[in-house]
Amino acid sequence: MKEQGRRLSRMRRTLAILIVVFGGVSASALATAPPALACSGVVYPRVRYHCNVVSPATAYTNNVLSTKHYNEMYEGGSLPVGIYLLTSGGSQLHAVNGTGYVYKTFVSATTRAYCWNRSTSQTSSARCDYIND
Amino acid sequence: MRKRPAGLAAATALLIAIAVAIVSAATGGSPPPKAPSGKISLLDKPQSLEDRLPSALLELPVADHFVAPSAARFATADGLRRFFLVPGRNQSICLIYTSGSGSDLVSGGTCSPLAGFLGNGIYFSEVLGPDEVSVALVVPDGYERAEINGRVAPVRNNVAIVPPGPPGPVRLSGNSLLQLTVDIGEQTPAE
Repeated sequence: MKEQGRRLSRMRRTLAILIVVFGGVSASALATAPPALACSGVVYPRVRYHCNVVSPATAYTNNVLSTKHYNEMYEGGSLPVGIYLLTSGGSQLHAVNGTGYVYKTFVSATTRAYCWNRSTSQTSSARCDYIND
Repeated sequence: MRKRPAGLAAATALLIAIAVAIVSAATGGSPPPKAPSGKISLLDKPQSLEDRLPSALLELPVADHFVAPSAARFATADGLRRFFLVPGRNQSICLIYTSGSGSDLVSGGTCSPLAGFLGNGIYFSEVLGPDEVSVALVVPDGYERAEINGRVAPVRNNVAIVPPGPPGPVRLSGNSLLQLTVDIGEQTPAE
């Protein structure tokens, strides 16, 4: 039991470190926020974060203000998905929406990127803040 | 073989005549609207030079969704944006636009299964400002117009680009086809 407890506490510590290192990934308050651990951090060199599952009516961001290059959001069917950018002040710079899968390139904008599951789909995934170099 | 009574045959004929008259009156004498076929004839056109996708686009992850870049077909243009339809993997279709090239390439788009085409529509929208949205959508053969809240756009090569304005459902009409309505849903997340 004690050993199990120690292991759990080690795991929690590791996860906390990972979240600090990668800036964390948060879900917007569009719906009950699922655990941020649904999203992973940097997949070098191309994706700053990747969410295996973006919950229904939820938008994810890693809260990193940086120059965005490319975002994409995948649902897999015909349901609505979207991507948008917010400045540090919270004003919206750009939003694009589509069905099933949507992508957008961005040029020279220092913003937060959000990937938004606009539907009830349980299968949506996201690659946001994509780096092309 | 037993013969049908003459009275019954006459009554049946009369009923049919009345039904035809009612339908005809309801539709103003014109035939009832037809259901769309769901076909996208642009994809059957022979390839030409204008169909070529910018090479910088093929380096983006969206290109993984294309069956073959050579199957892309240029549909229409809107200012600097050039819209293409590209057959996608798993029986899907991609509606994409590009402007510029090389490191200046700007692009966006959507890919969706053809199976949900007539039900959910395949559209790509950009929010340009508060209550201002530009919508491009894939349109099946036969339709001539797309309209959002009175803003009407012609359909060119199976694509319509509705001028910017407040968001709303897109209505497709023309050629005596049943009117199709595409719901583009919420365009910005709730505060």
